[in-house]
Amino acid sequence: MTTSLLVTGRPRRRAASPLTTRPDRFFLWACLTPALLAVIALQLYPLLNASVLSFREWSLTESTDPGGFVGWANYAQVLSDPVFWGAARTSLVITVCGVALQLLLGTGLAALLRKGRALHRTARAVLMLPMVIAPVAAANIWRLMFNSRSGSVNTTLSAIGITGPEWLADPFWSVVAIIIVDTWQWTPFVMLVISSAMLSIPQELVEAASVDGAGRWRTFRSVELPMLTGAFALVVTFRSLDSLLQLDTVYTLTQGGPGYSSYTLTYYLYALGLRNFEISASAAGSWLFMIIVTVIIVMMFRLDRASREATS
Amino acid sequence: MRKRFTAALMGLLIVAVVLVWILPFFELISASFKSPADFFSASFLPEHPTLANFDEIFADPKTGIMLRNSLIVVTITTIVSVLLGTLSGYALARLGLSPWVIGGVVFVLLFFRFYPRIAMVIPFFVMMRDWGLFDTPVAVVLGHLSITIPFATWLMLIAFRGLPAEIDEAGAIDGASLPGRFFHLALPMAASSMATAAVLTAVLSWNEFLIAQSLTRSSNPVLSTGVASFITDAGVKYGSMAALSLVICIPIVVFALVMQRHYVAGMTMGAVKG
Repeated sequence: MTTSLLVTGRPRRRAASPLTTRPDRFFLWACLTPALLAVIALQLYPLLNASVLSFREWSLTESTDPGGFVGWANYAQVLSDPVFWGAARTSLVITVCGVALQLLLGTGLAALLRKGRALHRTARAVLMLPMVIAPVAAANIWRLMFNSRSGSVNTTLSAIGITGPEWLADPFWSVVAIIIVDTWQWTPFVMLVISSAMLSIPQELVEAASVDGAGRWRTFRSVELPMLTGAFALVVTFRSLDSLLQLDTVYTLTQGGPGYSSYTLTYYLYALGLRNFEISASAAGSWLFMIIVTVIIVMMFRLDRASREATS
Repeated sequence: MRKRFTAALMGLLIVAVVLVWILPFFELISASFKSPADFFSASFLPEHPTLANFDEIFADPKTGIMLRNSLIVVTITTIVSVLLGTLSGYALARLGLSPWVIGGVVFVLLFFRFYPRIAMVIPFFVMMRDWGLFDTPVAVVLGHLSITIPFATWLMLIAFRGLPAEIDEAGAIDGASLPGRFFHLALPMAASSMATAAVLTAVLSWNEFLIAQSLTRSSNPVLSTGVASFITDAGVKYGSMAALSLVICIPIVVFALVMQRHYVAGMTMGAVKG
C-alpha cells in the first residue's frame, strides 16, 4: 500500500522491448510527435521567450516591440518594489492559513463521512459541488454573502449580536474573506482525497487494533494517521501550489484592494503585465516566482519518493 | 440504545454541515431573483421576486457570444487533449524508456501543471497578438491546450503503464501488429481513463479564467471572463451578476454530478494507488 502521485503501479514488465520491431518504434514515435510539438510550441517556446523578455526593456504603452537588453534591471525593479514584497507576504498568509484550515476541516469531514451509507454518499456528492464551479463564480457568490446589507454573513452575525465588518473594504478582513472563499471551495478536495485514502486502509488492521483494546481515537491516531501521511503530503502540495498561483478569487472578490492590501503574487504580476503593460518587468517577476515554485515542486518529488520508500 | 443515539447525533451533524456548506448556493439562486431594492434589506429571500435579471442578461448579445465561445473552447480543447494525450501516453508507456527517463518526463508533465502560469501568459499574449489570434476563441483553445495536453498525457501514461502486459504479449504472439494491439487491446482497456481525462479537461477549460482573461477583450469574451466582469465600483449590478454566475454554474454542476465517478477518480488520482 503506497501513496504516490507520480507513476503509480510498477509496469509488470519493462515495456515491449523484445517484441518491438522497427515499424513498431516508428508507430510509437508517430504517436508521440503531435503532443511533443504542441508542448514545444505552446509551453517551451513561450517560457523561453519570457526569459529573454525579462532581460530586455519593454513597456507596451511606449512601444509595440521589445527594446534593447538591459541586464538585470527588470529584476532589480521588481525586487525593489514594496508592493511585490507586500504581495509575497499576503500570498504566504493566504496559502498557509487557508491550507491549514482546509486540511483540518477536510480531514474531519472525511472521518465523519467514511461509512458507505446512503446519507454519507449523498453528503459527499453534495459537498463536492463548490469545487466543480468556476472560482470566479464562487467569488461572485461570496460577494453576495459578504454584502454588508443583504449578505448572509453579516445578517447571521447581527442575529447573534455581532456587528460584522465591511468585509471587502477593510485591509484585514478582505484577506480573511479570500481565505474563507478558498476554504469553502477547496475543503471538499481535501475531503475527497483523504476519504479515498481512508477507504484503502485494510480494515483488518483497524479491527486488530480495537481487539487489542485501543479506543477509537487511539486507533485513528496510531494506526490510520500514519497510513495517511502520503495522502496528506499530496494534498498539501497540490493545495499550496494552486492557492499560491490562483488569480481568479482575488481578481473577482477584491481586485487586490482596498489599496494594495490584498495583492497576491499572481495578482501583482498580472496587474503589472496586463494592466500596466510593463511586459518585461512582469516577465522578470514571473521568473522569480518560478524559482520559488520549482523549489516546492522538487521538494514534493523528494517527499513522494521518501514516502514510497518508507512504505514499500 | 446509546449507540443508536450517537448515530442519530452524527446524522444530524452531517446534515447540519452539508446545509451550511451549500447555503452560498441558495444565496446565489435567491439573489438572481432579487430586484435592486432587495439588496438593501437583510432578507434572505427576494422580497420582490423578479425575472428581470435573466431578461437583462439574455437581452445582451454578449451573453450569447460568451456561451457560444465557451462551448467551442471546451469542445475543441477536450477532444484534442484526449486524442493527443492518449497517443503520447501510450507511446511513452511502450517505448521501453528507462525508469529514469520516465521519471524525468513525469516531472516535466507535472511541472507544466503547477508552475506559475502567469509566466507563460505574458509571452503567449504577445505571441497571439503577432499571429493575429488575439481576442479569438482559438487563442483561448491554444492557451488551454498548453496545460491540458501535458495533463492528459500524464493521466494516460499512468493508465497504460497499469495495464497487464500479458495481454499485450499474447496479442503479439498471435501475430497482431502494434497498431492493431493499440486499437483493439489497449484502447478498450483504457477507455475509463480516457473518460476521466475528458471530464477533468472539460471542467478545467469551462472554468479557466487567467488565460481566457489575458487572451480576450470584452468584445469576444468566454463565460468565465464575462462572469468576472462585474467589478465596476459604480453600482454593482448584483442581480445580473448572480444570474450570469448561475448560468456558468448550472451546466458544470449537472455535468460533474452525472460524471461523478470519473471526476472523483481523476481528482483523487495518485492518492490511493498501490
